[in-house]
Amino acid sequence: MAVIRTVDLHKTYDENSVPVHALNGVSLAVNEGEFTAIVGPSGSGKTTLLNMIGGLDKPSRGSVFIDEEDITRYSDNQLIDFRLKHIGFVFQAYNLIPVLTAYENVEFIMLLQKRPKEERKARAMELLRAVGLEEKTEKRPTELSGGQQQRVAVARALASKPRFVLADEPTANLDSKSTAGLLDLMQELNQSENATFIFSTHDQRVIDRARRVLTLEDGKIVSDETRQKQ
Amino acid sequence: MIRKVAWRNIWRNRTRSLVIIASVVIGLWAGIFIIALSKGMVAQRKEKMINEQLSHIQIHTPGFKEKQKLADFIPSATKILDSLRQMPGIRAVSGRCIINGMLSAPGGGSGVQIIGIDPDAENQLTGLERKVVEGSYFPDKKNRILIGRALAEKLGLHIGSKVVLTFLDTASNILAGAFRISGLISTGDIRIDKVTVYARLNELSRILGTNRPFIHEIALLLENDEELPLYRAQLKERYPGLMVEAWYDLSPELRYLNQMMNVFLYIFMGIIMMALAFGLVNTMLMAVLERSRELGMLMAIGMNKRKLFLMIVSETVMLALTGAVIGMILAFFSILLAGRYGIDLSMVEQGMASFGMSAVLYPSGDISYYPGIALMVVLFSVLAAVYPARKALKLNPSEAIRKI
Repeated sequence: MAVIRTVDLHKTYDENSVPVHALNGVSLAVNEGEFTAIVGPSGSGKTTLLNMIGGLDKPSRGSVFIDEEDITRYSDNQLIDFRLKHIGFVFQAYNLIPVLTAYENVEFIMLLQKRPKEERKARAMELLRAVGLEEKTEKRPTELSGGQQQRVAVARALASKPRFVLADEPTANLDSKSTAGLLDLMQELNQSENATFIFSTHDQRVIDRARRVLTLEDGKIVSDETRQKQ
Repeated sequence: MIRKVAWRNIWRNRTRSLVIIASVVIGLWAGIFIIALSKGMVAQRKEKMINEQLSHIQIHTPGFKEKQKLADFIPSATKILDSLRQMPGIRAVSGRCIINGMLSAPGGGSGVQIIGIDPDAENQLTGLERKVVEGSYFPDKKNRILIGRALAEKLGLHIGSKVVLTFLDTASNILAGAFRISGLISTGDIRIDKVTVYARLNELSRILGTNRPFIHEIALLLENDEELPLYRAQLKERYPGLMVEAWYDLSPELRYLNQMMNVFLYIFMGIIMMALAFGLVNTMLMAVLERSRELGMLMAIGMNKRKLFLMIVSETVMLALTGAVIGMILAFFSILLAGRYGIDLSMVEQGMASFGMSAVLYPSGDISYYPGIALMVVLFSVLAAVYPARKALKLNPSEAIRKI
């Protein structure tokens, strides 16, 4: 059964009094544990779709169902709570908290969830080991490379044990080596944590690794390709 | 963690934070110092008034203070004086004859208040001898008087000048006595120095043609001023026909001056804090606008609005309190130093004296109001945080994250 379902999603922005249709009736279903890439040219609506699924933005029309519950009807506070409990975000620009160390960045979301200290410590260390940064736990973001920062962001996204990880162009600022490492890592975590991963990307290296590729153009899904497990 | 993030955020833009902290430090230090100086002035004035003019308790006949009639003297004053001198807990007692009269000299005349005293008792009570700035304090010669330096200057008189004191007796007959000036006094209050003449009590009695001294006022100082209400009540009971008044009955404004200062303190600090609050609003607003992407990210990953609000308020309060603590420590030590050595304003001594103030000021080291000021800082910084925090809460996370 689909854990994420969108029905006839529309989103219209008003830019200088000119309506811009970012989404034009997107309907899709994502099953648990999928490793899905949303691809398409710039302005095709990839980020907007991710924002709708993640409850960061509300559609102009249509619905987003998570476990058959319509989250578009949630209040702002309910959405924040929903994101805290169910979603892990990885952003293109890493968006780590610059005043916290790598360890504290990963721990932060668990503090928001009011998890006990021992559990926080064990989980943060486990994830930092998994992303290969156990030696950099006390480093602040400015002391880490782009690839390392994005690894911390992935560890942070998974720290809360989310059901879904939404990654908005996670490799856009990374070199080839870092991209390959990050994708290996996310695939491993997808299997070990059974988290559903959805990326927006136009990076071919990411598309090649995805098991399902949804192509968006002008706010519409133009293709939906599922590949065999490699 | 929110406190930790807030504290570290303060130091992200070190220069900007240091500027606002410095303004809080200077604002609070200056405010507290001025208040301590004012409180010190009030305390000095109170001490001076009690020890040199009012004493702890004064006794008069009812009605004397209003009309100052010669006939309103205290009956059995000598007995009362002897009895008070025997009473434990009383440091000094003096009886005074107070007559309004005229001082005439070749250079002119002036209305004066002639105070007849026992020089030793008065000196013990008010330290009158210390106020002699020229000449000597009642030498062993007859008919010697002390007059205020301001009065001497006004009439062109010097040590040894001969003057005539005239006044009316109880039957309105004009009496006069010739005296020589033995000393000039400066009480620190120019208003008093212009009208006061001190003479020996027995010499005034002789002019009045009586052996019995006309004592209109008995003043006394206690060993311990905390026992004042007790002594006041006791003496009222012992002398029911007389007016027994403490310094605060005689000069109620002096009593309320201290309370007024406390109210003034909070008004003054409120004004300073209000000005600083605008600085804080500006700083925090800049911080929020600069960090909108980060704040959007925090909302995106699940930080609720209450925590976000708390983080910005904590940041503002910490910023202000850091300055406040430094400002208060700085104020404490500078007040301690100034309290020990005094602030010498002898350049404007005459002006100060015209207000009854001493030329050397000692700020009050009272720190009882520091917690109140700290509370005000917290209150004003919370208020200052509201607008920037509301700005942060209005951010749309999906838009804020994309901001560069």
